[in-house]
Amino acid sequence: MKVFATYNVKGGVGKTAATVNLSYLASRAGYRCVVWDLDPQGAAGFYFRIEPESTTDPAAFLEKKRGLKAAVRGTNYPGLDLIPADLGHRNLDIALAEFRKPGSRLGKMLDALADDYDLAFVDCAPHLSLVSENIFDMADHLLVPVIPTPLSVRAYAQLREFCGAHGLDRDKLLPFFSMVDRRRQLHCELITSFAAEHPEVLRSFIPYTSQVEKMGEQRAPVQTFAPGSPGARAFQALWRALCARVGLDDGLPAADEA
Amino acid sequence: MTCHFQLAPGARVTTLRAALREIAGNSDSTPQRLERLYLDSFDRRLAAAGWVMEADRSDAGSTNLRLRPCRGENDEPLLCDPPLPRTAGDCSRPRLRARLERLLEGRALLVESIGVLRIEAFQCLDAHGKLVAILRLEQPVAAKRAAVLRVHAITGFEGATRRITRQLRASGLLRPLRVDCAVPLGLSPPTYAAKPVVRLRPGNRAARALAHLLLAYTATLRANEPGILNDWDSEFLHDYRVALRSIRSWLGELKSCIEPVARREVKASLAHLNRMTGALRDLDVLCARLPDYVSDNVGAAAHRLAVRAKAARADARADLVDYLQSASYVAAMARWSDFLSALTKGEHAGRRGRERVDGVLDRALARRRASILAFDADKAREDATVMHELRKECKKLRYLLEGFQSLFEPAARERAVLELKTLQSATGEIQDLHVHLGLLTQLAQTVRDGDDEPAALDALLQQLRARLRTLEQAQLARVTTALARFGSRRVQRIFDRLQEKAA
Repeated sequence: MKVFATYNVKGGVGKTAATVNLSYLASRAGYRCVVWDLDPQGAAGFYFRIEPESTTDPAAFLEKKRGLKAAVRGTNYPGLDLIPADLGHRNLDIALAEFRKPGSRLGKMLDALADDYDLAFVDCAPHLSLVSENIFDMADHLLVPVIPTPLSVRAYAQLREFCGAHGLDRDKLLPFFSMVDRRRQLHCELITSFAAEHPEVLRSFIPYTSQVEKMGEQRAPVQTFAPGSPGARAFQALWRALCARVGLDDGLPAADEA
Repeated sequence: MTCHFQLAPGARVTTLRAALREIAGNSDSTPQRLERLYLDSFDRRLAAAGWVMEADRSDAGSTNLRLRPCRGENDEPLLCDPPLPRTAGDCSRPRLRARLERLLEGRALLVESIGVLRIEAFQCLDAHGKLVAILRLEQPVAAKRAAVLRVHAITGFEGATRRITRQLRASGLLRPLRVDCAVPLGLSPPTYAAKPVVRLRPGNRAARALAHLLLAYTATLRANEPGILNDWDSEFLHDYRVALRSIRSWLGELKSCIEPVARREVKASLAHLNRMTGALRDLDVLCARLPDYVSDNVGAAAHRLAVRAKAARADARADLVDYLQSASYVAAMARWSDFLSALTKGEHAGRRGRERVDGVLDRALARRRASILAFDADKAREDATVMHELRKECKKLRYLLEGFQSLFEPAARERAVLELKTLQSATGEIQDLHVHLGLLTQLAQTVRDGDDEPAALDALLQQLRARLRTLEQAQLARVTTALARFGSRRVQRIFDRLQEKAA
């Protein structure tokens, strides 16, 4: 099972939208996918119309060997399941600290699903904590949405520094631009300079579109209600770029067929 | 979780469809047509163990393969790329592969039935618009009355789905599917049995009872011919040989019931068939076991020997296929068939042919028991011929118990067969090891001709001899224990009881 985590220390950059749309595209491509909503806000569950779980004791959740399997909920889309957020998990850091190897606990829990799924997408909360360490440990690739603004670019630089300081594999980081408004000169300049400085950036970006915003109203991936929209096409292009980078079959029709 | 329902008596599909629309609120606008294939082994091992393997092929070319319980509530769905699996080893999912290996025990998966289905899907949503269950109404295009409703719960929404199934049951239109799910598509319940049960009565005339038994086992024998000819799996030949050996054994055990000249004629042609099939069976078993025998040696010599064994198997198979397709086999089977039909009509009956079958059987059982008990374990350990004779005696006794099973008290018969199995399997193992040692020596000789490294081959052969001897020693110890156990009062009482009941 390949694990993708959508992560950024900065909030409101489009992590959940990316998780929901990319996992949907992956399931359409024939991969058995599970989304793990680690953000206590439960936004991924909201998009999939699955209510967050009632508060449970995080320590008990972490202890259970089959805890994750029992928490899996099917979405409205075949081959795509969700582990909904749990408000009780806002204190997951404190509970994790009690374990002997706190940095790899969540990865071990996710291993229990390895036979059932081909891909896992982890939607992370915006912070740097013990949970983040677990995410770095279990993820094969960290998808980092970056808004082309100085603060967001700075946050990515901080993340790279953090990885370097803690001996974490920086090659896991796969940044991509999100909420891009190409009419703004600042966005265009920042994208150009960032791409020159960070060759790891995925050569596809998500524009700032009303269709992506409407996901909250429709409570569904953008491809399901506006398949031909620029937002849907952008997520397809991002999925294609991601697959090319990590060596997966994207399951999409060839560019000339599309 | 999936629940399966069929139409209740008197219910109509149109009424059910309306009820489903009411419960679900919507349905897929266009019913889907797909081709469904049911897969099972020739002897229907999956069905016998309560499982169904089905593959749905859509017009778009995708294939969805499922292994699910006939009546249970848990699916094991998986997508698979064509071609469909032919053996358990073809399945890429470890859990499914392990389950199939356990259920099939080496048998191949064959397509048992194909049908075209019309599928309508109804989606059940909750108050948030969340899909909680899918109701799939499946109608075989050829038999619309045989509609089946499958209620699939979305993971995590099993509680909501249970409420829906309760509602469906309460409607009176459905009842739980009580039969093999494959039946609506025309797949008959399993009929093949490697060891068919022939209903006999103690008062039947011996020759006629024997004729019925021989007829049933001849059907089994012939049913395995396509599998041997197509080489679907090695168990076809195994079942064929079990039937053949049983037939030959009964012809010998109840020889007084058949007129000697006719019996000698058919026995001769069956003996020829036994020799023809034996060569391939020995090589089948050797090829299956060779990896274990050479497990310590993965060198080039071991590889060459394995390749040679496979080539020898292919040659033996070609010979057998030629024979089974030859005019002489057809003629032999025709003669056998004529003999059986004459025996059924009371012709060819021997001096005891008109006696009651239970009396004749009782004498045959007593004879075999006595000859097994007369064996000396020490002598059998020292002399391979004696060991082989012991094995043959055990088999003859077991075939009597299995073929004439309807004449025995079931519990006592099962216990007696179980006791015999231990002894027979140990002696059989020893026989196999002897045969394999002989075959390996022969094969090594053919490999050695033109081999660059004969020393490596000699070393391997020496190692194999030592390994097979070690295995033989372990089996010899088993034979001593099993023979002592067979002679014990406790086991003999089981046989006494068996004969009392039969008489």
